[in-house]
Formats: sequence, C-alpha cells, structure tokens
Amino acid sequence: MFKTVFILFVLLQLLLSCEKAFIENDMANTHENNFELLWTTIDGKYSFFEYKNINWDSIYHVYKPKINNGISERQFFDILASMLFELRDGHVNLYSDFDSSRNWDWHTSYPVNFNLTLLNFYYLGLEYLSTGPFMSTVRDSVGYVYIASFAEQVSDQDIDVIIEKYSGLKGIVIDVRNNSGGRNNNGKIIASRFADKKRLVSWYRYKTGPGHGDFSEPQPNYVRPEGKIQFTKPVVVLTNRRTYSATNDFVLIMTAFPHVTIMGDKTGGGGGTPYDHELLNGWRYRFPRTQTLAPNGFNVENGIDPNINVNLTRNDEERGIDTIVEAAIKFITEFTPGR
Amino acid sequence: MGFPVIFYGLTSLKIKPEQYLILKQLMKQHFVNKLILLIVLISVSFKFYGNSQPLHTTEKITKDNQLIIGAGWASLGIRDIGISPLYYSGSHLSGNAGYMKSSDNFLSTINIRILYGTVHPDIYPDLTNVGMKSLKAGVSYSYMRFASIFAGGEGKLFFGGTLDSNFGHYKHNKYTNSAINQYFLTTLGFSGQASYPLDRDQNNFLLAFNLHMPFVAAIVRNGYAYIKPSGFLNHETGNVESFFKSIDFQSLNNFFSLESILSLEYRLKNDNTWRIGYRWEYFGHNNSNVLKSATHGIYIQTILNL
Repeated sequence: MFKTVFILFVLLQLLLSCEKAFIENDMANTHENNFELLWTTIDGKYSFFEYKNINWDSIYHVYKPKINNGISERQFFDILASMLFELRDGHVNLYSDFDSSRNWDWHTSYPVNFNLTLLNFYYLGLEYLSTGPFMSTVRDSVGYVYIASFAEQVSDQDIDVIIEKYSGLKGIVIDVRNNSGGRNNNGKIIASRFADKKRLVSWYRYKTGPGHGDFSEPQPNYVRPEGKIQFTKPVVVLTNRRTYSATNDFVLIMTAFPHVTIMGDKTGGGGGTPYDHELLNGWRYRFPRTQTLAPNGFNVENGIDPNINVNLTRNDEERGIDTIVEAAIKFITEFTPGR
Repeated sequence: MGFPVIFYGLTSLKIKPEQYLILKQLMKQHFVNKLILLIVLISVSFKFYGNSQPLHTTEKITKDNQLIIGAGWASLGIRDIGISPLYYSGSHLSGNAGYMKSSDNFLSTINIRILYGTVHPDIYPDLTNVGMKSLKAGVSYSYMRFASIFAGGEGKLFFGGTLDSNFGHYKHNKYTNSAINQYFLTTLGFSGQASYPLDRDQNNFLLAFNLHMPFVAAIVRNGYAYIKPSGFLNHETGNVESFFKSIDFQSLNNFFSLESILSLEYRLKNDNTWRIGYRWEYFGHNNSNVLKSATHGIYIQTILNL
C-alpha cells in the first residue's frame, strides 16, 4: 500500500509540473516572425500614427517583401532600421549587439545655436559652481545655470542649493540647450522651485488599445511650489533644437509660469515617453507610447516655440560672445515689473 | 467539498442568491464596488477562520499550534508579453514562515513566503548583462476540514479553501523607462490535502500532497502599452484609491492558477518536526499582455510546537 500511495503522489506532482509547453513562445525565432512581431507591436502601441499622419499599413507592404529567412543578420537589421526610420522619431531605436539605429532629423537639419567651448571658456570659466548636474555662475547680477543632461537624478538638495544661492539676484538664466533629456521627473523637481502656485502644466495621454486613436482621457499634470524658497523673479530658459525629450517636458512646464520666458530656438520635441521591448532574437527596440499636451491641448511632439527667438550669430561666436546668453541677461537686467 | 465550505461562509454572512447576483453586477462597475467585493472575499475567508472549531465536538481531539520557519531554492520562469516575448528563467533563494493550527478535524495555516533572484532569457550568450532582478512575495491563509480516509484508513483527506495574495516585481537591466514591471494578485480557491503516514506504528514519517486551485482572482497589472496599472494614470489620485481603481476581477476564463506541494515530514523526539518539500506553482493571465509564470522550488522547514 505504501508503494502505491508514494508512487501516486510523486506521479501526480510530476504530471502537474510539466508547464513549460504552455509558457514558451510558440513563435520560432526567424526573420519573418521577428518582422511581424516588430510591425504588429508598433502598430498597436506607437502613439503618433495619427498625429504624424503615417500610413503604417503601406509601410508594411513596402518592407515585408524584402524579408525572408535567408538574408543575413546585417541585412535584416538594416531593413528593420529603415522601416523604423519612417516614423521620423528620435525616440525610436533598434539595438543589436553590432549596431543601433536612430533618427536625428529633429536637430541635424536646424541651426546648432550652441557652442560648448564658448560657454566653458568665456562664461563658466574655472570658478563655476558645480552642484549635481548644475554648472552655474553669476554675470551682471544674474545667475546663469547650465544643465547639460537630465540623465542623472536631480535631488531636492541640489536645486535648493542653487535657488538659495541666487535668490538675491535680479533673475536666473537656465540654459538647457543641447540637453537631450533623461529622467522625466527632473523637470518637475526643478520647476517646483519656480512655481508661484499650483498650476496645470501639461496633460498626458496613454495608449490603451490597438487602434491608432485608442488613448486614455488626458490626465492632468500639476506642479506645486516645493522646497525652501520659490524663485519668482524673472527667469529665462534657453532652448535650441537639441532640447529634447524630458528636457522638452521641462520647458513645457516652465511655460506655465508667468515670470518665465523661453528664449533661443524651437525645441526638438519628443513628447512621448519611449518604452523598451524585445524581439525573439534578443534585439531590443524602443518607441513612444504616450503623448504630452500643453495645458491648451497643443501636442508638443514636434517642439515648443520660444517666446523670443534668438540665434547664435557667427560674428558673435568669433568674438567669444554667446548671442543667446547675452540676450537673456540683457532681458533680465532691463526687465521692468508689470511690463 | 469546496462548494459547501464556500456556501457555509456565504450563509454565515447572510448573503442571499439575489444579493449575490447584485454583487456580481457590481464587479463590472466602479472601483468602490470592487473594494466592497474584495472586502467580501476577505470576510468570507476570515469567516472560515472564525468558524474553525471542530464540528464533532464529542470526539476526542488533539490540537496543535505550530510555528513554521523554512528556506530553500526555487527556479522561476516567466513570459510577460508586456515586457518581452522571450521566456525568462533563473534561480531564486526562498524563505518562508507560517503558523499552523490543526486537529484531527481541521488544518488552518497562515503562510508568508518570499523569493529573490535573477531571470535571464536563454537566447543571450552573456547572461551577466541581460536579465531581470526578480522579487516575488506572497501571503496565504488556508483552512481545510477533514473529509475522508483512504488506503484502508491509514491516509487522510482534507478539503477546504485558500485565500492567496502574491506580489511580483521585475527590474530589467537593459530597459530604461519601462525597466520596472509589477503585478499584484489575490485569489480565492479550493484546496485539498492527502496525507499518509509511512510508519503507522511510530507515526514519525508523514507523506503529504497538497493541491490549490483558485477560481476567482483580483488582479492588478500594467496597462496595455504603459507600465502603470490603469488606476494610476491620474497623478492627482492617491495610491490607495489608484490601487483599488486598477483591480480587475477575473474568473477561470481569463486566468488559471494551480499550486501543488509534495512534502515529507519527520517528527522528532521533542515533538517538533522537520519537513522537506517540493512546491510547484503555475499562473497564467490572459489580458492584452499575456502573462504566464511557473515556479519549481525545494525547501526545508522546521515546525516548532507552541
């Protein structure tokens, strides 16, 4: 009897434990299957087909005939990269172990409007204050803060140091030119020190279904005053076409405050949050699945226009002058309240 | 045996059939109603616990209160279409603790378990750089009543129900904005145990087989294309309200889960017990992003008489 019961228990356990057949993917790792997977996932989850008026079905018919299981990995990568390029989106990338695809149209066809050597040599110099991601100095009683990237997390302590140090000045220039993004919440943390009151700063829409127009209701995004001190004197935010992604969001938030002026060139955009995914061959890809809208409903995917358009001139550059920084300092020093 | 036990719980709460139909309609509606339903599910379970006295009070009954502490190793495999089409698997360390109250007539157990490790897709040759940190934690309450004997009176069968909650957390090494994926799952289901003493005279060795099959689940998972559950999209909503807004009630048509445990107990001279076991668990959820996960684990436990 013991043997019978023991064998019965063990057999039952072994029988139940054979789940692998249910879990493992029923799609083989072939070029054709990977193409279908990539096209279908983007078809259902990419957030800008309608906004950019892209016919994804016709793109399928252009690239599908080029795919067969006999082509090389390199050829396959190039075909997928070309297909993704049709989305004209800086947030769309394909990563393999031998190459990465990207689209930099959002800034390469526009004026640079930025010279880092000029900034380092003539403006920041050797005595600048380095606080987290902020490089700052003072010119003509105006604080100048350069933020090269949002890749690292901005701490409350970092931004509070800046605000406290420059609170007695006439104004602050925040330079986010060539800052192509990083962590999304950095913008909100910084902006909260410039908030005069709780304000609606943007709306988010999330993809909720496979239809190109399937989105959630727009969800409000508010910024409230936070930190020890709020800086509500004149602030100028400097932008160029390489102001992109999370930094584009920061600029959008700052436009909500009446004492903030955007100066320079139009931003590069990138209002959708890109999420990663994988193919069956292990290649990784990412693409946006959300939309960011201004409080008035304007979609910021293609960039935000400055309040005052200023370009960096070659003549000024040769003389060691950053036209845009100088214009911002002049704007603040000559600022008249109530103007 | 499961239905009478559930029915027993519901009648104790004075829920009539027509009220049950109303409750069923509520499942499809607002998050407040989902909250009510979740409370009812938990109440039913605690009702089991509250009524966990033996039915046949005239019998001579031996009661045990025991503390369970254990550790082990587990292999976890997962395929979540929301994260990747690839099957990820890997080793985990596990720990568990529990409290068991038992007699000849019933088994009542509260159990807490945690697993931590990494999972990798087997397609990558270099496993050090690509993978996900994996954390899985769960708490369950199980109540079973003696049902029958088998094997000439030597074996015992128990049947009852289990309320089980699980939390899964995965962090992908290569992903950025969508690196962290989480799910929360509470299930109510039928449970059974068959036990058989290997040495009838000494009563020192006990072989047991447990099976748990949920029939209803409250699930919180990420949305169709984003890494937040649907209730968390509005930044102005508090976390608790967002959580309850995100609950999706499912029955067997959209989810399937099964857990089985094969264990061997050895009773020491001081009446404490050692237990070794093999636990297998499967969970599948069919929504827009299909999730399938299985865990195989071996463990050793010390059961202390209180």
